[in-house]
Amino acid sequence: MGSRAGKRYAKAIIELAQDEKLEDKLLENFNSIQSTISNNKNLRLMLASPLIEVSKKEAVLLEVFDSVETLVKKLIKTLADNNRVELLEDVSQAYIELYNSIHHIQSATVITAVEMNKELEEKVQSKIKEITGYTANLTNQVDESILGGFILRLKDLQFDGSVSSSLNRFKRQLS
Amino acid sequence: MAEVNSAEVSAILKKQISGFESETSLDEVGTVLRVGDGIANVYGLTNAQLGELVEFEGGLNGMVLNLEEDTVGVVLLGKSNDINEGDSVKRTKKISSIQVGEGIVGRVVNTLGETIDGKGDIDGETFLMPIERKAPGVIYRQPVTEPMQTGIKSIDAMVPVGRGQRELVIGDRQTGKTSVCIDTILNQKEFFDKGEPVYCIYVAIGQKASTVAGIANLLEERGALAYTTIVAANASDPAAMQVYAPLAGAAIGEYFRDTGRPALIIYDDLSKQAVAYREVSLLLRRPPGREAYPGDVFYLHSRLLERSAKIIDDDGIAQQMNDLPEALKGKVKGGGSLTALPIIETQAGDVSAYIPTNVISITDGQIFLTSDLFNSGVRPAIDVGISVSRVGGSAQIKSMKKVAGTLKLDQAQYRELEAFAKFGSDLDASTQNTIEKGKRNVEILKQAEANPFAVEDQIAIVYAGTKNLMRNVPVDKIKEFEKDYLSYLNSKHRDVLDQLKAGKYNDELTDTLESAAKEISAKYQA
Repeated sequence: MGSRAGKRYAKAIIELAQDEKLEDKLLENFNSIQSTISNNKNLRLMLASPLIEVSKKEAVLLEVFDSVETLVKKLIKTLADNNRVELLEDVSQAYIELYNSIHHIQSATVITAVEMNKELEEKVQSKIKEITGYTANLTNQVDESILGGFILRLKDLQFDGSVSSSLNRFKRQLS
Repeated sequence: MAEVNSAEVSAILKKQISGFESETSLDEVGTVLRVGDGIANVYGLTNAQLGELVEFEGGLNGMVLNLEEDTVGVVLLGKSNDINEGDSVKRTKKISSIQVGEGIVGRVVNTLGETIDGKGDIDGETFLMPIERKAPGVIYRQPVTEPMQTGIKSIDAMVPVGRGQRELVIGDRQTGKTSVCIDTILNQKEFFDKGEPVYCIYVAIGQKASTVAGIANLLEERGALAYTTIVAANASDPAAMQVYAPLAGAAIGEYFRDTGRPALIIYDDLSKQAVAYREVSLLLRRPPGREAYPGDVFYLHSRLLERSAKIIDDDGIAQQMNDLPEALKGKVKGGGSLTALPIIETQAGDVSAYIPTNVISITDGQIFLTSDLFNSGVRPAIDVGISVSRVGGSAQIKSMKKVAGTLKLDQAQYRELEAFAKFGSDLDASTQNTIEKGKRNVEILKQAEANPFAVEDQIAIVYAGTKNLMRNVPVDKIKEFEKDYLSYLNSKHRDVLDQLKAGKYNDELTDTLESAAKEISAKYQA
């Protein structure tokens, strides 16, 4: 979801990164920051805690993310100055989203009853291209409860071609 | 139930299966984040519109009421039991609407326009009417000029209601607010029998289901259901259904209004609707204002009541009306009207509470019912001193206007002097005269429930009252006198009554009334 402030910081940093041609490197950095924070409850709680001094939070972050680009370190320092370190996860998330939208990278989920084969994947890709104009990174989820067909999810859009929902609709029309 | 053989079952199934369209389409979906108290917070649905219908997985509908940065607030139009966190919610891209057609008359429907009287679906062609619609603009309206006869003497004589007017009925609990409105519906039978029906819509908000059933029965017994639709959102229905029931009723009324026919809608009552709206608003976390009502509770009522209007009597202009639903295009006729009788219940006569003052200021007048009058036996318990009709005067038929002109003033004088009545013979003659006349007029204006009076009868008896033709009849015999007098006129001088009904008023007619009154009153002379 991300907060509005996170988006503002992300926009600023991606513009700086574009100037220095560091976008891809920063993407890696933010990916790792995002996964580190979201997988580490203690770190998250520490960042959100009002009892811990900002300078300590800053020190911890710089320690944990020692290997990141200087630009990201500067971001952490700025966030600390503005007393908003807890936004770091949101900023990372927003950066990834912004990067994807600039480079027309979108991710889509395909839910199928059995594992997807190459042929089907191509068909799905062409459908996505038809809808949005660009291809997408597909994630395949197998869910036997849909019986057959597939469900394609692209952000807010859903193309439901599953047998189960078709049957459901039929059932409702009969009742 | 009739036996259905297996061949028929197969035939029906065959028909339904062949008609089934398994079209998969691209939908916009969101995910339920939180659900409870009839409200769901849905993540996603970025393009959803305000007031749009959304569909949950189980087929339940909801209405978008809050648009926030990442989520939308949806009110559920049904039970929330089958909705879970993480369920997907689909946009329908439709503003919530109900199906209205000629077949809806005589039926009991809920807020969604589904019939709940067990008589099957609505017959005939139906049209999709949006429940939230803009009121007609100024150029599509015309002033209120035709009377909406309520059949209640004190209303038709002193606070007349015109077609297209909004007249508030206000009073404490148990003062006969609903009875006044139901009597008005019953009185429209005359027009139905004549082939010019006034279509009535009774919207019951937050009432007991048994009360609604009782009203439906009464209307059916009296043959009034033939031109009446009941919209019911009972006390057990979700708050959102109670909020939107009046809007659904207005949508039904607009169907008749815009196809050139008169309609009458009764909102029973808007204070309960406001309470339901407050509940929904608070659950949606809108900031509370005075009496914890949300800031737009005035707008809720004003936009609802503005939809009552008299449409201009010109088909060409009426067809250009703003915000016409697609389904009605090409069917619009001018000259239709929607009259509203909203009901507001006060607490201990407090009309300066938030909702009563709001609705008083929106409507074109109010009919005040007080428990003091009700308990002292004056029924309908209309307090004519504070009841007004701001536009109805020009809608009164001419003869009634002439006859009843002084009645309101007479009664005001009588009430002023009423306190001195106990001094009896110590008073001067003119005071005594005013008091005696006032007493008799009060008797005339009493009327039993479900006993509407034809307008010509009203004129005749009010004439007798204002001209003091009953001075020799004892007060406790006034009711008997009224009965004799009216049946005498109806059997001997029907032509005179017909002329009065047509609005004529001349010496010849009044002479007949006077001689009749003299003749009958002689019988009662002490």
